[in-house]
Amino acid sequence: MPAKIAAIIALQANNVGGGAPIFVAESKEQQQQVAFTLEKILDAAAHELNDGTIILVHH
Amino acid sequence: MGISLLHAQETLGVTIGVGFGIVSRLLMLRTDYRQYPTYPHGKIIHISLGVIAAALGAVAVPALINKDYTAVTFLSLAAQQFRDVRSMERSSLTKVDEVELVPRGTSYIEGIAMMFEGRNYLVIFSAFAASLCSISFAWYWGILAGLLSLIVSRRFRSGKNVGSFAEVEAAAVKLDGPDLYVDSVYIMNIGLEADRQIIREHGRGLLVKPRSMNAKVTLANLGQRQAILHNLSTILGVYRDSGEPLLQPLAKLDLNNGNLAVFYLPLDQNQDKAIEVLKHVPVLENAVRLPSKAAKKGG
Repeated sequence: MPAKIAAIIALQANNVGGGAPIFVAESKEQQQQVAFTLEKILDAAAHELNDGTIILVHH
Repeated sequence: MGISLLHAQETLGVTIGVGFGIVSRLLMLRTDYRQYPTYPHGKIIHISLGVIAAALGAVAVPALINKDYTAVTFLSLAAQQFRDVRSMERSSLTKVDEVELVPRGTSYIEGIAMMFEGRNYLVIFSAFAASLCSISFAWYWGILAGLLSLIVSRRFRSGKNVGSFAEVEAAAVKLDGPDLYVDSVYIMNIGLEADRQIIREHGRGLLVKPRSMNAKVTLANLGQRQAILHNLSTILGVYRDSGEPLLQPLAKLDLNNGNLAVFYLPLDQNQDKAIEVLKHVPVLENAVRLPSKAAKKGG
């Protein structure tokens, strides 16, 4: 099964786009918190793409 | 009178053969770290099949002596039977593997299944040897042959392990921002601070250094790596749960030198024990590659 991006959690909404659901967080703490919750719900791995973007990937 | 004497000797021979066959199966049927077969029912299945195998091996000798050559075709029936054992083991272990936190992987399962089949043939061999010697010579020669065959099957019972072709040493686990390294080998990207914290506390690293070209290629096999991770996690415990996709033991290759970096999350943090465990991981038959031999032959 090819890896698939399940969700994106970004600090800046204009840095990201595309087909996956995008969640915009206001702070780093909030971003970590949303990513944590989504990781548990989606059973997808959270990866930090760059400073400000976390993607959840179904491996 | 002569005929009945021959019969008595045959009966004795078959009995000794069956006896040694069963003993050999019992010796090879052990619950080890693979935790299988643990349950009484798993054991009963294998003992029963062992008895059948022993009977087949022992009875083949008087059949051959009496020039009843067609009886040998029964052995092919046995082979069929034991192939079924193999597929039975394969399918049940594959099913069980779906609910393992750290799966065995198909290569390991195939190896275990093959081993179950192979052990039944060793039982036939033991029974045949004991029965042949006690019928052709005397009962005490049969017992001697039986004992010898037990030693032979003991030798064949277990193959090589990782420690025989590679050095294992402890290695540092490093987190550089979201990037996780064992020694200098990149393992994966950890996005959550919570996971990073757990890895800092519980993550451990090992470095497996192959000693030869053959060892390098064998270690690179994904099935062999999965077997290493499974054994480490089974014996030392694993800090992992469902819904935690990143708390996962992983083994990655250093492409420059063929070293294997193993990242794992043990409950038992003793590194020396982990090194011993890793050294005793069996080398999977399906993973063995011998490129140096091929090169010598020019092929």
